[in-house]
Amino acid sequence: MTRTIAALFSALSLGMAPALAQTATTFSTAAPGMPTQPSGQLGQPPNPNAPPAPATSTVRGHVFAADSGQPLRKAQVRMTSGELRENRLATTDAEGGYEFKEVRAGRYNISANKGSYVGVSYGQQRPTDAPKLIAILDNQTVERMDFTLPRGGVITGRILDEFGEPMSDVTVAAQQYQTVQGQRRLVPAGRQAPTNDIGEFRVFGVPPGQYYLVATWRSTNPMNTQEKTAYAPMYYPGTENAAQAQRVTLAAGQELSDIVMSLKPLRATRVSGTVVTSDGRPMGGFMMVMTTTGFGFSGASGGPIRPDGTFVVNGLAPGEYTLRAQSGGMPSDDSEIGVAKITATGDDITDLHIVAAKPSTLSGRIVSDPAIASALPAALQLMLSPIDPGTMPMGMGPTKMGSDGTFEMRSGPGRMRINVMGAAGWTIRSVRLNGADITDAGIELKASEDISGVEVEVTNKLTVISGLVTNARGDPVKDYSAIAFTQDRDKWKGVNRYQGAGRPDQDGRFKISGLPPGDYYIIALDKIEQGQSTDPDFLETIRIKATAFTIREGETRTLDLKINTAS
Amino acid sequence: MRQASNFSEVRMSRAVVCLVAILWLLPGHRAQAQLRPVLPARDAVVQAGTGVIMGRVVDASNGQPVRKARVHDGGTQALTQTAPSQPARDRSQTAGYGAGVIRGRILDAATGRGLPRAEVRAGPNAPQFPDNRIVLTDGDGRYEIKGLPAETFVINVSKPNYVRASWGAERVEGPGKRIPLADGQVLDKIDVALARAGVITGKIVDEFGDPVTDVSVTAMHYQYVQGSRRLVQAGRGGATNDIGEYRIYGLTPGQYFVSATLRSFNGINTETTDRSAYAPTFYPGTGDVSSAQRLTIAPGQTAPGINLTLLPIQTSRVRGTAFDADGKPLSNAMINVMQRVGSAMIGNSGAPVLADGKFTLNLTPGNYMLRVFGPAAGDGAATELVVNGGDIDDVQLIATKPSIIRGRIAFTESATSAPPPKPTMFDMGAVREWMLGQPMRSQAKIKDDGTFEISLQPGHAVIRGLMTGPPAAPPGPNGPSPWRLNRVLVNDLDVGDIGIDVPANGMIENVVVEMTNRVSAASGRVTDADGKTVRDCFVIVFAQDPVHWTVQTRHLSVSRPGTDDLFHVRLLPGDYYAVAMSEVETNAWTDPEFLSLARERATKFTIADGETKTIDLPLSASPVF
Repeated sequence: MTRTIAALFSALSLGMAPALAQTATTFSTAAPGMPTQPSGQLGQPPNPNAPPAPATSTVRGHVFAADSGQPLRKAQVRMTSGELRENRLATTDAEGGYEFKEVRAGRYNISANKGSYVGVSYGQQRPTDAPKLIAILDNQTVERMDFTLPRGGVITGRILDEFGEPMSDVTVAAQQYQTVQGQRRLVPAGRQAPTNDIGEFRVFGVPPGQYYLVATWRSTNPMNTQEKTAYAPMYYPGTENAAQAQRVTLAAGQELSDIVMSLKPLRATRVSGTVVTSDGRPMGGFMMVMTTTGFGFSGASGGPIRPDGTFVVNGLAPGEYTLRAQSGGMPSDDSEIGVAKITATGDDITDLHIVAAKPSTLSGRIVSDPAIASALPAALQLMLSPIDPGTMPMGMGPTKMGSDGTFEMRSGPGRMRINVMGAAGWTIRSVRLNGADITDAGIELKASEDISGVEVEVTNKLTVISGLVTNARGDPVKDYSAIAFTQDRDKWKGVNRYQGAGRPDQDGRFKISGLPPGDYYIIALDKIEQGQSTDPDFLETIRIKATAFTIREGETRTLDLKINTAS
Repeated sequence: MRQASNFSEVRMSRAVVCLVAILWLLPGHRAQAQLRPVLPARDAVVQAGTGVIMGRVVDASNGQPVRKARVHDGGTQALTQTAPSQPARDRSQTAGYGAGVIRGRILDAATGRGLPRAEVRAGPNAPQFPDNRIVLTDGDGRYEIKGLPAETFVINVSKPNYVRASWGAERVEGPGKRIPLADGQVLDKIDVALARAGVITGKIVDEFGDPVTDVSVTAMHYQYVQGSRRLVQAGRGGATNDIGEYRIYGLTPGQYFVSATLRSFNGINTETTDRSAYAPTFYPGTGDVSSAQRLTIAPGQTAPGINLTLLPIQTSRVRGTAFDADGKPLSNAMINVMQRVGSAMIGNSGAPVLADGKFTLNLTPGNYMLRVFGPAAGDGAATELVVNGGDIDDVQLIATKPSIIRGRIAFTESATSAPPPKPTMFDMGAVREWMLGQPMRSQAKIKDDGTFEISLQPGHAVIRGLMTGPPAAPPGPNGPSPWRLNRVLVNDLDVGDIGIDVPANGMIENVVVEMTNRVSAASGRVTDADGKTVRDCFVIVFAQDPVHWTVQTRHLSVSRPGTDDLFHVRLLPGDYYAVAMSEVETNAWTDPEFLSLARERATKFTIADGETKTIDLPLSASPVF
């Protein structure tokens, strides 16, 4: 679930970003003569246990509507810093003005949003641009950090069934092709909208661009229905084949109305069977039904499993599904979970037998790089993530951590990788089990199997790469993406810690930190699509033009680059 | 897991042949359809459904008729099973099947159009409801329920976004008229008109008059939940769009309050200085439900123009610390925050607990429930919090370790010659009210010797158990009963209904959970002042001792007279009141105040272990509060 939400959130945050003009932002510092290098922290990660630096700076500006030029009141301006774990919000006043006071020095993303407008982040020229970071110094006042928000496009219409009756609970989305884990897929861009009781939908806040419209039906109550009909997703203007979908172009604030599509019925798949516990007893509880997509799960619904362990799932449209059975009661150490993947073809599936399992325990110790005397930060946490995105993360309770660095985690079966989170400036150095390095390969957890003796070594000696980018004439370039990726092709797919990206701050400087030591390529591109760098074929094409370099543990390197065009 | 596509589909142009067959075959078989269209497409489907299909489906590999073929109209894809060569005989041998037919049309009450895909059920609902008694209407709203035995039926109809209705009902959502069906009789024109469910629409603006997006607008009505009348959400939809408009739909007829809530954008923000927010605002523009305006929604009614201006408000900063059961700061946890509006819980948001156990929340004035779960499964803490507008700095959430209930399962003497089942055949647990109206169940671990242990959070809990395994044959009015919970004994006191107070970090031992398969039952007739038999009424049977008037009581039975004109209730042995009323709000009988009023008009009786009694009742007026 978390996964779906995270994926949705990133899809939302990526989609909302149109062209905007950053109007003459001014920077002034109370202490003149301070170096203009963004944040004096390059190469020195903040010590998380040290008291936070005094917050002495101010950021203010206005938010305007692009179409009318009028100030936008009640807009939300958000200022976030991953490095500082800051997340602040301001609402514009009646004149469209906002202000952040007592801002700590650091690199921030700043974005503005308002209801039906398209959200804009600092540094975005186009909706698909990755946002830039802005470096805020101590005792600095940043004035006129203004945002001009284009009005979002609107798509309205109705969805009907084969009888011409309005259909409720159909999700309508404007989708765009994006590279996700190396594959081109249609993913929702911006908001989606459900149809109401009279079949109407209104998708709004759509950034200007070209889209495919898709209407997706999903059974709202798959555990209790007589429904024998399902519907496949339908693409505008009325095809079930994504390749035949018609692309629509939406300008800023444009309204595309009266889109009417009739969904075509299919025979729904009915799945019935039983769930038993690991010791073979009937298991009552709750069944969650999720659509399996290429990169995770979506559309969870579900219902109870009867006390005798039997269940019926009805109304499934053709597609891949994951059924997740959890034993009744409050989730506990003994909660058992069973997972089945099914393919619905219209054919009924009977006697599906799901055997649940107790979660496995993974335990061990966290050690810091022996070369560092520094103690482990208290906020440091471990996280297990499945290597195969189709593996359902299940039964994962929070990590139990001892003050001596011992840890215990619970997980369902599958191949899992261990990551650290929570402590800025710290990263995994290696993960070992019985002397073998399993940092990238992960650990294969079998159902109900416990694994102990895992050694997780963390370090705060991070690598840092920074630099400036110039064009063929030697002039500085202020808008680009710098991509650093490993020379080892085996790590181009799946393992993403060997890849980093940086966007210029207001001085044109990029910064990529935390890559494991090793041999890398780096390249500055004028533009890159979201997710494109997960595609090994794309990396192969840019590798030829890239600069090769090697970085040692804890090393800080400056690499000034020439701009390249992606095409 | 099952692999795709072991069927083949033959599609023909609708203009040429209106029927399509999908054949469900073993891999390797090819199918072909030999179907003669005799009627226009949709009627053909209805005909197919009756079992008088004019055609044969054959397996192309051997020319033999295919019994498991599914025939449907290419346009409607309403799927029905072909008439197999033998099942007619098979069915006649199965209880609940016969040769009777009920058919009719389901219509939209406003337009008179036939409504496709309405669900039609031939009731009354039996525990083992034969599938053939539930059908969906075709494109013209026609349905046909066939294979019915000679019984008395009620036709109940439902469709999303329509108000459910029964044939012959005299009031909205009232019980339907009985339809006696003779052996092999075909009853036509059992038509039911459905009214659309109610709709509320309007626009939400802020204090500047600008439309507000993403406001959650809900319709709320009073319902009995866990023994008291509480405001609960109803209907669907309700989020505002880019121009501030919302549409709530699917409302059953009744009275509603409309409330608009804009989730604070910085609910989990720890360092915001921005205190602007909006209070949950009730129509026509108040933060207080007691001065809110009630809207009466009739069947098929749309109430437009229910517009609201959100009430601006300042948030309060709430700071606190979460500790584990050992008194150490709880890091690596999330605080879960829910707000009580009326008596519903809304907004489910979270905030992180930092490494030192500290958390910060920005909350609008109101009543909240804060919960935190510790790293060890099962431990956690909850507290209610009232925010009045000022900042709160010292909230402490101290997690408790789960408490333990231990005991054993015992059995009464069996009502049959069969011995009691194995204790591990029971699915048993302790049920606790975890949040208003939301039960939380902690599973019992049962050993072969009948001893059990339940690990649960402290609070007030009742023990409940059911037998697992394949469902037993449906019991007749006097048939054997499955084994079920009889008494829960703590120090020889039956706490089955009153429950157990489980102390924090505590242990309750020697609990005896007694199971029984013995049945005590009562049945009877309800008559009005003229001595006429009444079927449109509720019969409430409840214990004479108010100690049993709990939400979780097993000494209460509510039923309605069936098609035999009699009500039937199964009871635990004891002293009871019985009362019949024409109209009772659902779950009103969970309210002790209602029961104390009802008892004044009730008939007293006592029923012994295994006894079956006849109790005839006069129709009483419903108590008025």
